[in-house]
Amino acid sequence: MKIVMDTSSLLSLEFMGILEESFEITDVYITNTVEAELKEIASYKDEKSLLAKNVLKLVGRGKIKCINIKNEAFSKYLSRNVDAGEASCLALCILENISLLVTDDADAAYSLGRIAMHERIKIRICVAVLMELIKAGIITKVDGIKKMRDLIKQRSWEGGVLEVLVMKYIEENAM
Amino acid sequence: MLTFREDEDIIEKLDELARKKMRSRSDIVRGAVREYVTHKLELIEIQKLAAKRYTEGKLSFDELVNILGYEEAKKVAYYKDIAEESFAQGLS
Repeated sequence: MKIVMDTSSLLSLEFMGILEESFEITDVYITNTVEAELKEIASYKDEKSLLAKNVLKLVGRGKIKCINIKNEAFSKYLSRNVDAGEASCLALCILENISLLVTDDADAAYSLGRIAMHERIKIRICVAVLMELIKAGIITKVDGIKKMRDLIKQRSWEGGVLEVLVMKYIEENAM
Repeated sequence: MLTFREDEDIIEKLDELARKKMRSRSDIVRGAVREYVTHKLELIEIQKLAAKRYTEGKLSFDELVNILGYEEAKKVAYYKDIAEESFAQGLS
């Protein structure tokens, strides 16, 4: 299964420590624009920097496939809520006929939603990868809950939509 | 310490406002940043709470619109849908 990931979802999955595990169930594609964003984040001195460096190592080892997408192919998708990384990911999906785009950027997902639906591209958040890994038995539900809780805390998503859904879809059936 | 660049016309307007208010450039910028950050963080908290209650089924879409406005409510509803699909269906 081929999927395209943007910068936000790559960092989320690396933070949860399941990005490498995801290669057991998917082929992960990114664009040169996403790679450039990761390089920029890697140059900072904050907690995301190390995550970005780790992701770039996986790109360097060929575990994540990086495809060049020219600006002309995605500039029409740019908007106030959609940056070049996200726009290039949608263009990659369309050009390479990949039907899954993973992004954790709610604004971008909403803004790209109509085009994605028209192109029969499903938009998912990083949780979808976690759920697949649980389904495949690669990680346990209990471990999955812990990883989600850590991510929610790290991204300051406490008290939001994801906390409600973690309880509804994972915790109720976990123990 | 924080420095920033801005277009010349905005700097001119900033200076004009500073003159009219009898304040320094820094005072005006400091006040604007403080007001923006406080307002934005309050807004994010309201959005998060409304989104949570909508996801729990305790708010209808119409009520969500009343709180957040139509465009923001549509965004929350869309995010809730894709998050729910991600939990329920994974990557399939």
